[in-house]
Amino acid sequence: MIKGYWIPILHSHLPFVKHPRHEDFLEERWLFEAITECYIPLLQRLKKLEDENIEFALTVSVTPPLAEMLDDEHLMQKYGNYLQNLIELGKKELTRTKNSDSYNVAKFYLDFFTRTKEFFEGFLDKKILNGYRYFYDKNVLEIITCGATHGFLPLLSVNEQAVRAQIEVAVESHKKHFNKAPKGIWLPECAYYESLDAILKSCGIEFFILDAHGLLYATPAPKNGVFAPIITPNKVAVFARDNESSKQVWSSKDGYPGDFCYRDFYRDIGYDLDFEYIKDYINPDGIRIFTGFKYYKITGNSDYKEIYDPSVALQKTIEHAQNFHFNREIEINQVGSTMDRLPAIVSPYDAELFGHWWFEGPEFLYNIFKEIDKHKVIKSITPLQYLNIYPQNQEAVPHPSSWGDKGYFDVWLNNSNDWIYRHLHEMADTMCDYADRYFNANEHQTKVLNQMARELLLAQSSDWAFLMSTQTATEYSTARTKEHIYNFFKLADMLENNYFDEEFFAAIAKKNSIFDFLDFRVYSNH
Amino acid sequence: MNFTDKLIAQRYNQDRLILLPINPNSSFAYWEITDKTLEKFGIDPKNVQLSFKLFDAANHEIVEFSSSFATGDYYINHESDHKSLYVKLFLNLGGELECILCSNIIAALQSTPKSIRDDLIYTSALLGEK
Repeated sequence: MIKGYWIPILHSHLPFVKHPRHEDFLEERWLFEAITECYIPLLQRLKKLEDENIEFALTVSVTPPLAEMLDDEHLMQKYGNYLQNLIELGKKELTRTKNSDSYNVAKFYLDFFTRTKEFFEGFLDKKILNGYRYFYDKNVLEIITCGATHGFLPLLSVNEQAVRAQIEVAVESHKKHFNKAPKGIWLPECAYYESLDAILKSCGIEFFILDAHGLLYATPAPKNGVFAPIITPNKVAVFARDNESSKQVWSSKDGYPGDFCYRDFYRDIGYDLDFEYIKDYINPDGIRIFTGFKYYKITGNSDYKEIYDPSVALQKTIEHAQNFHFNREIEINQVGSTMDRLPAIVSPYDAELFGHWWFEGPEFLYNIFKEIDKHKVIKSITPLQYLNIYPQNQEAVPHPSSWGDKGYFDVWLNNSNDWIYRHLHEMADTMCDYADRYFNANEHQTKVLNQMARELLLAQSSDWAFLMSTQTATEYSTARTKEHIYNFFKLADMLENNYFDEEFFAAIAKKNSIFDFLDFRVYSNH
Repeated sequence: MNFTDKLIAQRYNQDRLILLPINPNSSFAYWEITDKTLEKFGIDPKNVQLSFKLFDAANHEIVEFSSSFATGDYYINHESDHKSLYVKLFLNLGGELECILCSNIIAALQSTPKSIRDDLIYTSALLGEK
């Protein structure tokens, strides 16, 4: 008998990074690594579940910039080369590790990358989104959207139209890539501010997800805690993260990914091997990078590492899935007895954690669904399915919050990144002004105005502020922000002073090519 | 043009005062006062004294600070028991404070017990950790 529901949600997002002038660009690897280690392994497991007739339901956000990159011919061609390169390195590794303890792991990697290529070229027909669409259309995967470029909405809300454009463009992007309007949204960084629900509602959004305190401190306090959604004054449902289930998977102290059997993330031949041997597989500038060939397991808390054994690690994912299921059952029994309905445990995670950081993560997910299907005590469902079962929910105003460190906006507004907001707000105001003034723009002006809108949206990506804050890829994120600000105002200058820098325009239009459907009038008040 | 060489404006020649929420105890203000506005009040743009006051929804003054920069920003620490907040910018005209700009009004963030947050790691190493 079903005693409660589990709502797993994976947030898949990467900022839009495309550098057509470079054959190999360091930050483009974010996408290629995520495809290889996260997106394809997830889709492979979903296909396996389908083939084995195992019932499952999963909610995944595919953010507009990610969808645009996964649909970009130039990037996908580069991805094909990237994969081919890994297979070539895999073959080389077989020779190098022959007669060593690492040989079996080298064989595992060659097989892993070869199967990835087969899946990419076969089932996916070289289009990753084909896989998402396949399961979306079968109603086992609920794909939700996000901000158009993952803009941190509370800090953009100085100009309401800027927030509205983030949502409206996201909805259009979703329709373009998935042939239907999204029902749900993953708010960028789960960041909510008062009255955002009105904009979401007007864009057809029916639900969103917050961190636990966003719902627990709603007004009035929700009687079912995080185990049932609330409904906002503007009639949008809000689901919130269950701390317990998150903690079991991701606690830095005792979460599953830290098990000593699992693959160690840091030891990688990109750093470990002689430069001469590895130079063709790292950054062309000679910067050592992760190649994906990692031969050691976590082993323990010291630098001493033992050889990774994939079969032992895979067996461990079964144990962890069983443990996860066991604990969810206890949790459901505990909270269910106090509720007027069956509880829903909402478990939102970064999709990129499953496979990239936690290499065995996708297999863990596969095994959880198997456990759930076996016991039939918990049922995995999507937020929409839960709302269909329980259409009446308590009305409350969500608590403004985010899922970042300290729970508010500190990560995206601090000494490292505060300088960007002056520019982002000025750009948004200028864009709205131009959208009204040039509402009836001619074809040529429209081209320039649409690119201005792209530059604004790309500058607003919360990733740049985040990376400045964490001091990761700081130079790149600063340069990207400045580039979009510069491009935006140069385009505005071209428009105002009636000239056209063809070379400049061609270069940025090719590089910052996100949202080919974009109409700058999304910023107009007309 | 080199990717990292983009020159961007430091000022936009627009009078502006913006307040942004950070957490229940901290907000961020940035401003720009144009030379034209300063000259209108007979103030030398190179010798500016600006005063700021933070108010709550009931127009109670919460905290004040000052600056000698016509373009600048400031982190404001305050208590967390306010519903909404805004800032006013004043010019000191012969000992009298003249309000020349008022910021947007923000809904103040409310405190939650610290225990609600834990030691979770949320993000992949692709883009660093949250």
